[in-house]
Parts: sequence; structure tokens; C-alpha cells
Amino acid sequence: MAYVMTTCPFCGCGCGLYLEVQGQKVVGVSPSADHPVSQGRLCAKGWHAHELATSSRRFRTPQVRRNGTFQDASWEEALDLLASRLRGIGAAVGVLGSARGTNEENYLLAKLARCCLGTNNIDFSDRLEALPGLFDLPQYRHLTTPSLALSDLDSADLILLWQTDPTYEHPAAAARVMRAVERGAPVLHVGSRRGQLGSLARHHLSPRPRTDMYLAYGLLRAAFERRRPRTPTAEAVAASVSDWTPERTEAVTGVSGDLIGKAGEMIGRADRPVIACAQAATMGERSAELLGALSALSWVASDEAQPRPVLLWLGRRCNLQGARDMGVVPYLLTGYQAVAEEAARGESSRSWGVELPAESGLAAWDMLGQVRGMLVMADDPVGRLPDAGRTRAALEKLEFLAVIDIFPTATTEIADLVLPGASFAEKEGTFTSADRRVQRVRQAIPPPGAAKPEWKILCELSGRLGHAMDYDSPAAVMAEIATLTPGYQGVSFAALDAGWGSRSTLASEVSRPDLNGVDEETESVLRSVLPAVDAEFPLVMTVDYSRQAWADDPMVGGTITLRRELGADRVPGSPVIELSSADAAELQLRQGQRVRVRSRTGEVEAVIHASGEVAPGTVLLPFAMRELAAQVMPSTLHPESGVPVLPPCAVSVRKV
Amino acid sequence: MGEARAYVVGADALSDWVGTLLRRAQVIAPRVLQGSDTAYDVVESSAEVAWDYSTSVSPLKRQLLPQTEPLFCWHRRAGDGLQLQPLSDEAERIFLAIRPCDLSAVLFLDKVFGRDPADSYYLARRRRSALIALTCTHPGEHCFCVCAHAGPFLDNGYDIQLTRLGSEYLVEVGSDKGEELVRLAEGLFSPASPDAMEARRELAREAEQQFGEDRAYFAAALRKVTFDRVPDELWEQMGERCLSCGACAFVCPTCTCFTTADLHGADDGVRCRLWDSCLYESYALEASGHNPRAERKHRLKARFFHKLSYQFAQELGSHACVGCGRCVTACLGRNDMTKVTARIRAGEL
Repeated sequence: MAYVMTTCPFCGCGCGLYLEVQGQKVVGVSPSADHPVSQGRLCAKGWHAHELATSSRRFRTPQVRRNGTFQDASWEEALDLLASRLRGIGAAVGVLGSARGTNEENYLLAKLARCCLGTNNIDFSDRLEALPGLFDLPQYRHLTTPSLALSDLDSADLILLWQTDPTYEHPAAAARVMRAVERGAPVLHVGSRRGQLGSLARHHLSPRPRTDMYLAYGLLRAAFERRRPRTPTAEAVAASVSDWTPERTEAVTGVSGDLIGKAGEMIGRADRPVIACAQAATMGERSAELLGALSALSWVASDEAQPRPVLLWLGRRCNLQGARDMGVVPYLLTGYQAVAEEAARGESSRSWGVELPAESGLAAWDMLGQVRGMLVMADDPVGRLPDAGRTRAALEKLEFLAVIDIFPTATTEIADLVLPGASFAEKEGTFTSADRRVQRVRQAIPPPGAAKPEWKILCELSGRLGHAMDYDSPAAVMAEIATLTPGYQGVSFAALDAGWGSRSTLASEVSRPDLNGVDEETESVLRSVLPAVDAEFPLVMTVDYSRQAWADDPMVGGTITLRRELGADRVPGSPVIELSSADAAELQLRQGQRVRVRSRTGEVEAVIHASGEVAPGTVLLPFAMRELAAQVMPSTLHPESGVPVLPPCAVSVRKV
Repeated sequence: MGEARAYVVGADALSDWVGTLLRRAQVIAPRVLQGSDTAYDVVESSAEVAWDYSTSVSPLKRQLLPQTEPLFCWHRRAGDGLQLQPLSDEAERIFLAIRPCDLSAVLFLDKVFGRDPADSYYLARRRRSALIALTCTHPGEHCFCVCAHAGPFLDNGYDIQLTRLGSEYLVEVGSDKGEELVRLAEGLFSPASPDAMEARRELAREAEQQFGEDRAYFAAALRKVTFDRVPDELWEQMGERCLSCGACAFVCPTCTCFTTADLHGADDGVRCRLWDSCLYESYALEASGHNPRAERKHRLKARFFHKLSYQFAQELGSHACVGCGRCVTACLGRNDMTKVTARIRAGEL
């Protein structure tokens, strides 16, 4: 038996765990009491991570589609085919990396796209899934690349949870919030759904769907009432929200002015507040403004010209942050260096020995219909991009679709070629956690069958594309990453192996928020943001990003116990919508009853779950059911990126 | 078993003896992994044994009831039908320097798996194992074995119990199997003097004084849980803290929940026993779709009823906790045995 220390491959927390190895099998997981993130704790995902590697669903040999069916192929055959098809397609290609791939794999994939294929069409679906706005641009990056760490929750004197339920999304953060409750630190919870932490919090604030930004303005103003601005910047920030009195905020958000005053008072008293948020905070059409308003609480808590950051945005997947850091973004090289900037491009060009394309590439969503072929590594655009129907149709029209993955996904189903990759237990590498901790992923067992680690597949492919990427190990890839990537200087496997990992220094300073649209009349604000509720459509339906957060995850689907607990086995054939017990009683609906949810644009059948968790007037639909949601919620294009998002809409709920 | 026998052995000679044991069987002992993390693991030499560890990250249960345990495998061949083949683990094992709490838990598991119908997989593994305890002269941060009468020193139940006395170890033999292991290197051991026995008693008294703040109020909890005198609101409040991670069951040396699953393909596969947790939402889910423990509070109540009620304690000889303190570290929501018994005793959170 052996115990191999590695990093959990599920969420962005970055817990450490030991894989227990017997012969060539991983047979269990032990926690690490010493690990600085997990401190001896793991959630169900971590406890069953080993089952991922032993799953019978794994791909074991390369699969080539011939006459409509997959047939086993040799690596030679499969890679020759892939290289020849990619050469034929040229730069009209799209390449997708992965929030569950390692940094080294993502780096190599981006390098392959730029050097071998001559394109900046490199992206990954999870980036758009979590960040439909332009959060990788320099002015917004600090909002979703936290300066704070999970451990800052331990010393926080106020925790504000904003539309996130870490018990589902980031359990290692939830454990810290629970300990904060125990030591008496005030916890405030803002959410459409109360959840466990909402119950443990001092106050639970439930704003009407789509009014979060205004609640943030109201809280900011109330906090400045408690602690007067003492610097010119703080004064300017305070002035920009001076109209958002508790009364006006109540009129817009539905949260009582009294509660806003109390919460603001608590925030104003805090010196080390932490505002934790996750996917829901970045999914709205004006999410940059919302996060800007939340980060402006820095100027309440601190008198410094450069105040202490307060925002802790946590990405869902284990290496969402790392894949962004590695330049798997159509307009960025590694470390957020713009491809348009000659100096940054020059450095990578010199190192890679190839002239790099200077024009931004296509984002994953924009690749659909515009590229002739795609190479996808551990990503599932059909399952993850906003509109599965449109995505599938676009991918089916491609001349060639190749996928490197470990499990079947909706995308591998329609691929022309599937190459079997290695699970986290079968390769070396690093993940960068949601709070920028770069940690080692270590090989415990060999990959199953003929499967190979992705870094090897990419190296072997690159040679066939005329620009050999020659590395003897992922450690050598990291050595190159460290020389080219701001924030990763000094990172090496040797240094990481000497401890528990280290944080990248990529955080950017808090920049003064641009608080727009705050001086409109209350009535016009209400008209512009609130879904038009009337007698026919009296309720507002919105997406719940927390509950069932992992239900449609392919890794959960490939793990026996997690599929039962969190995954597809938990999700019934119809979506379960959640509404308040009061609304259910008024509509004369029983628990578990089948209903028809109608909006002005469509309808869908669902099963109801009535509870005291949701405020009256609101209907919640889990994000994992977004495909069905799209049948009833009219999707809108995000104003900055053109990616579809699902804003709340008015609905009726009736018995079938 | 004859009357109590005790010896002393020098620290160097102890290493030689471990060498002898290594030639005789697989030796599982505490080994440092990374930082201060220690696990019970196969050792190849006595130098690998961590004699000064506090608590291993996983209980000894992992060795006797593995997280993934192959039960039987099958092969389907054309024309040959389905061939089933039982799997068994024949290894002889010596568990060396295990903590008294973990050893006490094994004695508890013996009763759980010895009940009719007896669990042949567990019992076969257990029959081929010897238990050598290492007493705790300095209890760990979250230890409370003293509340569970499962340490820091044991009076019986071990094959051998070791206690460090300065530059020597006291070797208490508790069974013929233990005596046999001592006889493998008889020349290394000399009979323990009355002074050595007195020193051991003094160390045990000192150790009992050194426990930290974590305590478990078993007597009060047993009474209230048995007679269902714990207010429902308390279970509900504790339910709000439970993240259904399963850690309490996995780190608990006395928890035995499992499920079975078939791994690998349709034509070649293996049926395995996998650790499961009664805190998981689907654990008690019935085929009809009915779930008798759909809510967290119901699952917590069921768990602590099983841990603490007199009905189970009577059948198995004690409540199902040895005070190893692992749940204090592992529980995401602070619903560990010390907190839960304290809340039950107080009747409030």
C-alpha cells in the first residue's frame, strides 16, 4: 500500500487528499490533517475521488468513427488522422481547454493552438459558463481573481455570503463559515434561497430577482452611515450611492429598510470583512457592476489609499483559475498578457520560436458556426455552453471534431475521434485553486488500457503538426510556464513538493469601482430591472446556481457514490422547481406535484418542491436544468460578450 | 490465555525485534506521510515506524474493512457462461504500534462482524492479524479516549501492549499469539521488574491528566438518546450544520456502513464492498422512491441513536465511540461526538 498526496479534482477549494494505492489500483482516500486548505476535512466529493479512476465508464483506447460507429484504433493511426485533418483545416479551427485539466496540459494546448495551428481560437466552456462577462480584461480581472484566500475567512470579523451556498459549491469554505459562526463573527447571507448558512447567519436578505446590484448600493450607503468616508476616494464612492437610502433600496429590492440598516451597520463596524460569492454573482447581465459595488466595501473597511481587498469570488471547478492563468483565453497569453500587445507576444514568440497571431481569437461560443474543425481537451461544449441544441448542431456540422477525455460526454457522442486521457490519479501536474494556490497533482497509478496523459498526447500531436513540443515531463512544462507567466515566477515542482503548494502572485489591485446608473428615478429602475409580473404571470422564475451544482458534472457522473448522491441519479426526469410554501398553498399545490410552468415565451413541465427556503413570489430552477429552463426563460445575450444568459422572467405555475 | 506476562526491551533491541516480525509477516505500523500526517501503512524496516506520532489520519479499520474491498470477480466467455470466483485476502499481518483507541475499536468491530450472519471477509482478515498497541503517554489535541474507557492505556484486549519507559519499552503480553511473537526473539526481552510496572501505572495516571478540552458526555447522552429525550429542534439545528460529507463515518474506527458495487466491464468485473455513510441522502433511499431519512436531522438522529443508544450498547458491549477524536478534525460542520454529546446533555445548541 502507498499513500500519494494529491489535490482534489472537483471544486476550486483545492483540498489536499491522500490516494490510497494497492498494486495498480487506487482503493481509497485519506484526509490530510496538515494540509493548509482542508485541515483534515473533505466533502463527499473528496472522499470518493478515487472512484473516478476505477470507473467502468473510462475510455481505454483511441476511438475513430467509421460509418457512424466508433472503432478502436492505434495511437499511431489516431494521431496521424488527427494531424492530417487539423492540417487540412488550418487556422479555421477552434481549440478548447479545460477547467478540469492541469495547468501544464492547458499551457501545452494553448501553445499548440498558437504555434502549431496559428490561431488564437483557444478557450474553454467552463470560462463562459462561469464568466459570461469579460472578466479576464484588466479592468475587471481583480473581481474574479481573488487577492483574498479561503484562510481569510478564518480571521474575518464579518462574512457576507452573496448568492452562494458554499455547502453545495465550496464545502471547504462552508466549514470555515461554520467555524466563524461558532466564534461569534457576524455572518450575513444574501440569497434567493436561504440554505443552511442562511439559517445560521445573523440575517438572511432575499432581494427580488435581478435587484442584487441595488441591494449592494443600499448596503454600501448604510455601511458608510456607520463609518463615515475619510479619504477622497471613499467620499466619491459614498457620494455615488448616496441616493440609495434604506427606503429606496427597500422599494427596489423588497428587502426591508430596517434589515438593510442593520446589515449596513454590521458591515460598517467590520475591519476585516470578507464577501464570498461564486457563479451566481457573475451570471447577470450587469455582473461587473454588482461585483464592483461589492468590492467597493473595501473603502468602508479601510482608510488606505490602496485598501484591503474584501471580495472572494470562488470558481466552481478545480482548475478554472489555472486554465485562465495559462492563457486558454482567445485574447490572452499566459498570465493575462494581451495577445494584441507586441512586447508580450514577442517574449512568447522568442521562447516558442514561432511568430504568433496578433489578432484576438474566437471565444468558445463564437466558434460555433465559424470554425471548420475543433480539438477539445477535457471539455464538453455541448454539456456546458449555454444552448446545447445550438452547440450540438454546430458541432455536428464540423468537418472534424476530436475530443481528448476520460469519460463519455455529450460532446464525445458526436465526435469523429476520441483520445483516452488520464484521470487526476494517473498523471503529474498542478491545479491552481480558486484562491490562486498552485498545488501538485501526483500520479498514483498508470492510466487504464492504452490511455495516456494529455501532456504526452499533445506533445506527440505537435510533432506531427510540424512544431515538435518536446518535454520529458510536466515538471519541464512548468519550468517553461514559470519563465513566461507573470505570477508564476519561481513556481517549480521541486518548490511545490517541498511544502503544500504556493499562491500565484497574479492578483491585481482593487480598482475604484465605476458605479453607474445610480441616479435614475426609482420608478424607472424598477421598470427596467424587474420582470413584468401581472395577474397572468404572477411569479418570477430565476436560476439557482447552488443546489444540484454538481448534478450534471461528468466527473460526478463517472463516480459510483457521487452519481448516487449528487449526480444524475439524483435528478429526476423533470426539473424540480422550488417555490415558497405560501405560494404553493395559495396555488393549491401539493409537494411533489407535477405542474406546468409558463412564461410569455414558452412553457415546461416540472415537479414542485415547496419549502420555507424561498421568498414568496420567487420560483427557483436549478442550473443543472438550464436546458429545460431555456424552454421557458427567454435567453438574452450578455451585452459585453454576446454569450446567452438567462435573466429572471415572469411565470405562472399551474397543475398539469 | 495464561496470567499476565510482562517484559522490558531496549529501544535498539526493539528495532531488532521489529526486524524479526518483518520476516514473519506483513507489518503495518504508523508511518509519516507528509508534514505531521501519519498513516498506518506497510513498513519495510523498523526505521520507518513513527514511534512518536499522535493520531493516524485514518483508523485501523481501513486495514480490516478496506474502503474498496473486492469480494468476488466474474468472467464471461463465449460458450462458457458466467464464471464466478470468490476473492480472499490471505496475508498474515502484524499491526504494530497502533493506538489503544484504534485497538479497542477493532475489538468492537469483532463483535459487529461476528454477529450472525458472521462476515467471513472481515473475520478471515482478523484471524490472520496480531495487534500490538503503543500506549499514549501524551494524548493528542482532540483525544478523549479516557471518556470512552478505550485508552490511553489498555488493561486487556491486545496481543501485546508497548509502553515507552525512558530508553526501554515495557512489553505487556495479553495473549498466546502475543507470547509467540515475543518468543521469536526471546533473547531480546527480560522480565519486567515491579518498578517497571509501577512506572507504567504512574505514566498512565499522568496521561489521564493530560487530556485537552474535548470531552464526550456519554452517560448523559446515552440516557437521553435511548429514551428519545433529545428535543427535535436540537436535531434540526444540528442538521443545519451537517454537510452530508460522510467524513464522520469514514474516519470513525467503529463505523461499518457499506454498499456494494460492480466495478469494470460487463464481461470481466469485480463486485466490491465500498464504504458508505448513513449521513448520505440516498443511503436509506428505498426502491419505491420513499426515503425514511430524507432530511439531515433524521439522518443525524439515526446516526447518533446507533452510536449511543442502550439497545446497541447492550448488544455490542459498549457505545460505538472510542474517543479517537478524528471526527473533531474531520467534521465540516462541527457535529463531532464531543459537540453532539455536549449539546444533548445541555439540551440546547
